[in-house]
Amino acid sequence: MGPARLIGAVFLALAFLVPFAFQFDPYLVHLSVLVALYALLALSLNVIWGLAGQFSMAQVAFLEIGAYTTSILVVQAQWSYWPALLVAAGLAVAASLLIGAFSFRLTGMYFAIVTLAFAQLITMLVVNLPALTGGPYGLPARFRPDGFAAGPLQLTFASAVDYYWIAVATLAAGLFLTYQLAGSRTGRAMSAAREDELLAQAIGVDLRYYKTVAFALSSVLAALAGGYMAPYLTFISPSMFGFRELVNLILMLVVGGVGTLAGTVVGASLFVVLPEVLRVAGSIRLGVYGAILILVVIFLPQGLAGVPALLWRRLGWRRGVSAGGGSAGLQAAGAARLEPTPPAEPR
Amino acid sequence: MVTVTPLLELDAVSKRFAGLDALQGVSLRIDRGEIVGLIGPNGAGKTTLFNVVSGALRASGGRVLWEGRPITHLPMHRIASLGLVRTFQAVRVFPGLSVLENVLVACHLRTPGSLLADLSGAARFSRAEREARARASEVLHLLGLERHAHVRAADLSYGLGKLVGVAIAFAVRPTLLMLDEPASGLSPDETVALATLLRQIHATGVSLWVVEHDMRFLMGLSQRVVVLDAGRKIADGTPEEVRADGRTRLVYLGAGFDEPVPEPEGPGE
Repeated sequence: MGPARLIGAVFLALAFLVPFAFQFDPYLVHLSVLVALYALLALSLNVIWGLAGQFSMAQVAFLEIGAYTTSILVVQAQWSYWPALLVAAGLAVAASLLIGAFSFRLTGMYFAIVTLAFAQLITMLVVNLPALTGGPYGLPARFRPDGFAAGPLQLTFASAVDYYWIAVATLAAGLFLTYQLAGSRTGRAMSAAREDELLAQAIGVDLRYYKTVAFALSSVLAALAGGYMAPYLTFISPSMFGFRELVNLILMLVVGGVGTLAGTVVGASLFVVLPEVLRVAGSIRLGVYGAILILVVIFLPQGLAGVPALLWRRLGWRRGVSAGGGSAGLQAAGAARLEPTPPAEPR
Repeated sequence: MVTVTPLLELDAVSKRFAGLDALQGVSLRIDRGEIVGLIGPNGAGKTTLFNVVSGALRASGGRVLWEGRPITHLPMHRIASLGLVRTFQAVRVFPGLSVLENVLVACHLRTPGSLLADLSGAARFSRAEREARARASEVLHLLGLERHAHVRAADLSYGLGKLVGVAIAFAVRPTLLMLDEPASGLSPDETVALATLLRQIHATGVSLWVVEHDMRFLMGLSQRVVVLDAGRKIADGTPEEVRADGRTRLVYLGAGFDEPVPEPEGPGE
């Protein structure tokens, strides 16, 4: 309990200092905003896939719903930004509930395929409703979220760093909530659904309920990322939410570490930073990038977030008794045991 | 003649697979506090019967009554939450979770909770959480699993894996625990320990319904034995009655029935 939680809290606190460390260099701040937004998206996939074990291909579509709904409401309907963002998140939840009602009756690949179909449907809608969405040419999102004061900070969204604050604050909240959830009754039931559906049902886990809740939570995280992304990039188009982005997202989480909180941030950082760093490699950049990803997947099945645990084990350190049990008598006498006991008499 | 409502009652339950009548009009009752054995040759329909009663399979005909109320068409998780909980023939655990987490999942499900408290972390300090953790360590203690509390279930030996399977089911606080071949694959010593453990679980007020091939184990443990053959019930009585039953002897000829009758208390005492 102790160290992991402490390290996590320290890292979250440090995340707020990143722009200071970069001395507000515009390029580095831009990369930081992207990392925070992608981490939020990766976290959304992690909740439904890493925690509840349901492989979703709809997370990029939720991002798209968040970006388009916010932009359309602000640009076309003259809404102010924050209510628009709230409606965008609500719309994503509604969509997730609808998908869940369809697909959580059955198990296995069915859910993955329905989410893929949903993702295609959303992009098709965006392309074919040009009056609303700008169609394939995209939609300018030249608006700023309404400013507000957050403690000593005056957020006006006139500069990139203000987007960083809001994105990283949302990410921190998302990580915190997910951490609490995973260690709770609800989170354990979601893990049970992931680990063995039949056994989970046999002990009373309502699979549909827990899968639906996980999916709804994941849809909110993705929609918020989309709602921040649109005004930050000032332009959105269907090509930004295509199959390629979906593959990138899955790779990001796999390389970072599915089912770990650190994995979302590590994966997103690598995904944003590595291509930039590899610019020195010139034209073979993408090849080197691909090779690195393949090596990680082969040699680090737990992802990069699993590296400390791997080293920990290699070095031969053993985990002490962690909190939770707290029963007084270890190995009480008289307890029946299914281990080889000394033979009483020969049969 | 009987006025007490049985805990579990099967009324002409049948299950038809394409081209196979796996269960044909099986009727039986289990009363509160009983230990009932279920035997029969391979393919007799024992596991099918468990699957139908626990809701994993839907009956083709007949009714299953729990405390007098029909549960034939309830989904599996609802049946479990009523207190009718089963284990599985093979090792079935949540492989990626620790032994403690395996048991904790099961401890919670009959207590209410709120999603908001779980998300905010407030639930960590709730009474329900404290009670679930207390219950979990109680279960681990009774089954002698404390030493393995933080081991990943996937890393357990076969015998321990089966024991964790029982621990998970027991943690749900069943009224009737259905055990599907709990002794299969265990060593003779482990089997003796299992019989002792099942008696301890029974002593906490849990009724047991046990499918098993190990006759010594089952005849020693059960107060009543039901015999299934080719999807039909062919005998139902005390171990002695069943042992003396002509049809059962025919079905089981040479399958351990000629072994000496164990003492009333059975092996393991």
